Amino acid sequence: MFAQLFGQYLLSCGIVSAAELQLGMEAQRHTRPKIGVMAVSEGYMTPDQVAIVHQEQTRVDRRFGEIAVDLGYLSEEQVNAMLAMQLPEHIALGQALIDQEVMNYEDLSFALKQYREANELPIDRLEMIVNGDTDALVEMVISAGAMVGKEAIQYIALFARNVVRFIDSEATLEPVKKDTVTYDWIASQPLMNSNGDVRQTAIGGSRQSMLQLASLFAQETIEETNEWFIASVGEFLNLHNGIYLVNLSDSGKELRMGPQNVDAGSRVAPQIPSYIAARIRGTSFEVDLLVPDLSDLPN
Amino acid sequence: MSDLTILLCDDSMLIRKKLRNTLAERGLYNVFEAADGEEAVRVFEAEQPDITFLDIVMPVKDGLQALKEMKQIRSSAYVVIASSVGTQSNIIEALKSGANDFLQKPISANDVTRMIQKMLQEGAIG
Repeated sequence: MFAQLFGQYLLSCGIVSAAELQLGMEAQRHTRPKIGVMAVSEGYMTPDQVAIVHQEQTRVDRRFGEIAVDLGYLSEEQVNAMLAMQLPEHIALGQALIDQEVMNYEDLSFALKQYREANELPIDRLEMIVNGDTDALVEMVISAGAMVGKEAIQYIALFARNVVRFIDSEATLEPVKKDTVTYDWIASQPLMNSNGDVRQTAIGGSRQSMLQLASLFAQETIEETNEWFIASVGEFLNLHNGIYLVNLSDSGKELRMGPQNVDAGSRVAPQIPSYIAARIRGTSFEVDLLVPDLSDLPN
Repeated sequence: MSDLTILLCDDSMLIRKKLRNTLAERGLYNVFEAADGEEAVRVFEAEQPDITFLDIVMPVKDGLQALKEMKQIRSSAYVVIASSVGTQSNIIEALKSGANDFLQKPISANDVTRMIQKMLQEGAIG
């Protein structure tokens, strides 16, 4: 997700034009890693140090990494680690923009720093969820008895992070047995591939819990299951699925999603025949996330 | 700036309400709304907005198709795609179709202000 959001940030701040970003994003697919760009992106070197190494390369026929190590800017371990690293997408975008002379090293360093500050997330809390949820997720998959791929696990972990980020910073994740699920209200949204294969994703819960979820996301009190309730619950699922698709896009998998639905009195099983469920428990609500097997939904 | 005409296209009335409130706080009241892509194109043609915020996933007609039709109606239209689906293919298609910017949801008040200021700086009104 970082590459897309970083690209949007560059565009929104006027650092690159729409045409330059378009060219950069298309070029990044074919971009080969350069140690200088990676070192600046990782914070190992400053743009001035990169310029010094480049200057040195005009005098001597040696590789960037070798000179940087000699000058004490990088350790050999750092060079080897960067050479072995798959080029992260946001660095590839930065490098493509540098190659096209849209940005220089200083611009990239500054933009990355600004972007990280502008989008700072509650890292401690996120790490706690990510680190803490592993056992629960494994247990959940085993108890559901389902053959699910890593896509569904990633989907649930992302959902937990989005609940923490947008709704309730104290929310926790736990397994739920699928044979017990019926709900007062359910929000659903289809994910689709280019072949027209469809998988339904959903959030379900009691009337009171779903009202709480809607109120917390809308940041205003919603006491009735009215059009505002429907708009808020639906938009949260829509937001989460959008972020999930952006993450997938980073790994080369492109899916689409359809409009969301919010319905009363829905039973899940007939609508979502193959799924696992995870319960998200907040301070004032508990809802279940219902996830289909996403591993058999190719591009 | 207070006489700017703004079009908000999103199937979520919650998003439209929040954006409308944000604009009102900045003294911007000439705001029109559309809840699907077809309505978006119709209101766009009728009201000739200075800036349009356009969601992608909408019923009837999606935002990328609506964008293409808006650009056919008025190629100088200033359109910001505001979507939760900032995938590589969507961004590239939006930019190719003439979108002036792309915002990943959730959209903050600062995002909206920044987009309007950017449009004014680029002298892209009308």
